[in-house]
Amino acid sequence: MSHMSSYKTDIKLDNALANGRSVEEDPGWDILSEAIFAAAEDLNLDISHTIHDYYGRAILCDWALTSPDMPRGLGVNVDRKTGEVSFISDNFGGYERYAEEIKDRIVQNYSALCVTKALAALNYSVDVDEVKHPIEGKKVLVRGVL
Amino acid sequence: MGKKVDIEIGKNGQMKVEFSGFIGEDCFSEAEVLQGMLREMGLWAIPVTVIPKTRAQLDAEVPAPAESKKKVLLS
Repeated sequence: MSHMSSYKTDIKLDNALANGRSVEEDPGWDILSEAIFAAAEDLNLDISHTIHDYYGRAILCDWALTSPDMPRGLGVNVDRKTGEVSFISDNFGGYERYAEEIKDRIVQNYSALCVTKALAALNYSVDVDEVKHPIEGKKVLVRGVL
Repeated sequence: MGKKVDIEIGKNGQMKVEFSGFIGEDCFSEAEVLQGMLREMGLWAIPVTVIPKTRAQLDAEVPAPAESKKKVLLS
């Protein structure tokens, strides 16, 4: 039998923590970094470690993404105790939609990277393609053949 | 037919996964293995729907058998 299924996804880097190691040693840390750099390249964003709030106060983050369209930036933080990944931005003034787009792209990239790596580890021959859907935006298609 | 896994990843990481060419319950075990590997990488994939393929969909995965040919002796 074969089947079709759908999943919702969430990112939590808690494997290293569960083994008494730091979250930076989690296999997901490098994948998250790769996903963020890919999103930055796609959306023309600069990467640093600082975002700003409405009042101009600096907030340090593990990764910070900024652009002329979103000068305050979107920050990505990984909780050092739980491994939970959070996205922070001060959206006052109408930046919500752009911040959401960046966040969605990071999570999409992260999912695509994980799926590709997992299928390859299971000895599938993997192909990755991207399509642009007029309403639903970019979709990543991953095909594994055994 | 070989085994195939097609995954469509939408915005915010939602995934639609199609397993093809698996025999019996193998596709469900493969889905669990895949889910476990994703989990180890920090990606929690939470199933929303699971739909077994219909007989028609399964038949469509297997190419129709080639038409049998009969040898004819030409004298």
